[in-house]
Amino acid sequence: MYEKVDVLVIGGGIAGAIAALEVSKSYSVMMISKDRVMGGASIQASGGMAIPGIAGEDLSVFVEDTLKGGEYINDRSLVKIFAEEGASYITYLEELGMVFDQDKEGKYRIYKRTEGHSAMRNYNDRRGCHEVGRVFKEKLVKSNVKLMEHTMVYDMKSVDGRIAACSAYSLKDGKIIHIAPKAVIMASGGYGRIYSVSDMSTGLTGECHGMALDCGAELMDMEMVQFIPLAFPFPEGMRGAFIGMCSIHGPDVRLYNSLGERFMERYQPDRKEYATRDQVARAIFTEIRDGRGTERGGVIVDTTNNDKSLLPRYKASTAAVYSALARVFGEKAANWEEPFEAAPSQHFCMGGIKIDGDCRTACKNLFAAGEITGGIHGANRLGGNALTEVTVFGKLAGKSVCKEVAEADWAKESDLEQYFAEQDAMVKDLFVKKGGVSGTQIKKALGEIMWECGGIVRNQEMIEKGLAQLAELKKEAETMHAEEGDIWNYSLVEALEVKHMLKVSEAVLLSASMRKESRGSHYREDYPAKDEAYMSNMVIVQKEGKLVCEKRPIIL
Amino acid sequence: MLNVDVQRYSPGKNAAPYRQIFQVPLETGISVLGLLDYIRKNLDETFAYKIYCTNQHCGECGLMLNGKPVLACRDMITTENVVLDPLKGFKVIKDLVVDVDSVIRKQWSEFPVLEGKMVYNDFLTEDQHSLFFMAGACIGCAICQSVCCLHKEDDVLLKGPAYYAALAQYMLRAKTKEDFLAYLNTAVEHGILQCISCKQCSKNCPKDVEPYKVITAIAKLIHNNLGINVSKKLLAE
Ligand SMILES: Cc1cc2nc3c(=O)[nH]c(=O)nc-3n(C[C@H](O)[C@H](O)[C@H](O)COP(=O)(O)OP(=O)(O)OC[C@H]3O[C@@H](n4cnc5c(N)ncnc54)[C@H](O)[C@@H]3O)c2cc1C
Ligand code: SF4
Ligand code: SF4
Ligand code: FES
Repeated sequence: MYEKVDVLVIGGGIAGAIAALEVSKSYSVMMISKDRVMGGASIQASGGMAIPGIAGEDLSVFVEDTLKGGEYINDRSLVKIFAEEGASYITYLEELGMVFDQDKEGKYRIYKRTEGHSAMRNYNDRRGCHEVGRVFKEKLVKSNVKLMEHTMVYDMKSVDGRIAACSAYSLKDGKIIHIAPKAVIMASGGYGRIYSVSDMSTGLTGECHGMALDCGAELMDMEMVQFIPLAFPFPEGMRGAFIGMCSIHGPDVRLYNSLGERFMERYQPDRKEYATRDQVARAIFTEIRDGRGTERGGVIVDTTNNDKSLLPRYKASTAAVYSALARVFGEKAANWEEPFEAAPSQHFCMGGIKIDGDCRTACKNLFAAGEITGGIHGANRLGGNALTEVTVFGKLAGKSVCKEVAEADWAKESDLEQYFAEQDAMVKDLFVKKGGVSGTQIKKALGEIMWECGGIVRNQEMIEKGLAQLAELKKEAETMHAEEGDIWNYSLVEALEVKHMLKVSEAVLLSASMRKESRGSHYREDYPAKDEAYMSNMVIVQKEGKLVCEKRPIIL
Repeated sequence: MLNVDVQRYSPGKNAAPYRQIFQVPLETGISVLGLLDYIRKNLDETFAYKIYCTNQHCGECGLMLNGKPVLACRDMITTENVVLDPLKGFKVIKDLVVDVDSVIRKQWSEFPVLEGKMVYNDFLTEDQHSLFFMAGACIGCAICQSVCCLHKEDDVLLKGPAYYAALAQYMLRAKTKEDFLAYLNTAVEHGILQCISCKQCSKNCPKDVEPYKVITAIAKLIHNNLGINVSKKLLAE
């Protein structure tokens, strides 16, 4: 049994929602999401959005800021589209009925210049992204998009270079679902959860990146992973949760190691704690790694020197972070009266599926949009650029699919039947205990390997160690099992994730190994300088089941 | 060592919910999520609960901790004896997983699809604007629904604080007085005036949405605009 649809959209974040709504005007759409809609990193976002050109500056200024932030390996054709389309971002959302955070006169309440931006162009929303979410949820619930929430796509197949079929597991009713789409839009977000320490939603494990490779698409710059400097180092269950950057904790934040040394003076004598996210994250990571962290694995964040009269303003813009600080470290820590502890965490993925200006991938009828794609942010992303990007490209993907799906067709019945039978058998086989470990255990081990070997500070030796450990895990994964059970089976979910996570992690390490320089968020302590010879993109392709990393010239 | 007493239940497989005790080698001071993950990853992989964003945004992880509705990713374990139950008032899917979505989804499908630029209307005072606006940060966790005596899972009238907080988002954007009055009437139809002012919704809301304040503001508007009698308590706020 399988279901035929014109277009399948994977992902219930902003990119997926916009794409699905766009396509639903003309074709039948199914939208599958691991969480409920709206979800993903989109609902987690603090609500900072960069609007190109809004400060009255020429769009080329925005383009230049974005390229500079990305250390010039961005796909320039995509950045151009990003700037041009992003300029109408506010009007677009207003037309859709979004209520902005404005006063009576229409002035934005919080409007600022965020690091890396040369103009005042960042709109901030005190409600985070929940109003954006509301706008799309309201429309999705009423649209003819077939919504499949709490459902995870776990495998996808192409036939003759063209997208053919995919299988999914629905947690709520415990069923395996088979789908034959004419076209697929992948909008399933980043792969941050391949790291044991991350502030992204637990489901953002990057399966779709793996499936895209299986179908012949390419990944680019997978080594470019952003880490935020401040996250909870403890307690259990909160490790990695977002505390942010020093800039959201006042104008005079000071970081100390366990020796009482203000270590940023050593790393970045000029801007100290207010250097870029990756510089600060790296410094903190190094202090902790080299034994100068606190007993509980963090550094000390001293906010007590801030001018207290500013506190209400800072609290208003990230209320959730301050209330979390109060719960873990006490009220005083949240009131700038006592220091607290923090450590870095994985935060965003610049790398991803390689697309062209119409969101096409190298696999026919497979499109991608949002954080799952690579190229737009290059080696690093500027604050607020993600939300704008996912909106712009979600819409674009929807439009592009509409142009092409008319000529697309479903795959042959016999191919589909055979593939789906294989998928059913694969899941059944996972329930057979073969004496090995569970997917959950492999996922846990994998997260730790990636944090250690492919994390904030890298070197050849560690990368190779990581690759060797991944190879071992891959072998173990051949005999892994999941607990039997149909409804809400996280054990099955994690076993299904692991298969692809291994591949995606390998892609990250292979690219990190090939890029023998430091650029943006990719830092190699054995090659600490930027090297013009690497003004290029690292592209991962799968050839006969093996991943190959190719160094390609940047896209102008 | 934590002594964790959880409700287990697989509808269709178990005749009725049953209790299971886990001895967990962890100390107080961890988050509920930390505890849930530990149990699943180390003691029983079949244990079901719901978690997603891990930072109080997705609204998926509501459950009862020692009888109190909380977000698993937000609240801390403070006692050595821990009792975990599914969020009260909702159908259990498995163990601690409940079906909040179909209720929230039903609420949403009642609302109109609004398009076009918002105009700052003068049906609301500036304070009401600001209150309703911040209620837009609601994450739909349904914790307020769970503690409210108006909430009934299969109620076609969708009564309850989360519904009123969502309705406030539409009042904020009402373009004509007619639309605005229609929203007020909807609130009345959906039982807003039956609120007993227990304030449990506001006390338990993990996001400072203050649903009770929203309710009293709407009640006042109903009183002033529709001339309907409203309880003294609701008007007093
Ligand atoms: C804590 C935090 C704060 C942030 N703050 C900001 C900010 O202030 N400004 C800014 O610009 N950016 C911010 N970002 C980044 C931004 O939120 C994301 O880049 C953006 O929302 C990604 O949108 P998306 O639609 O591409 O993916 P997502 O919103 O991540 O959505 C992905 C969807 O795909 C689903 N999915 C994944 N795998 C599968 C599968 N196998 N099957 C089915 N469904 C699947 C997920 O469940 C999810 O619904 C922040 C990110 C985080 C984590
Ligand atoms: S104050 Fe009213 S709405 Fe809130 S929980 Fe009590 S009865 Fe329900
Ligand atoms: S009002 Fe508060 S408790 Fe109720 S659904 Fe919204 S966030 Fe949850
Ligand atoms: S996991 Fe998202 S609110 Fe708790």
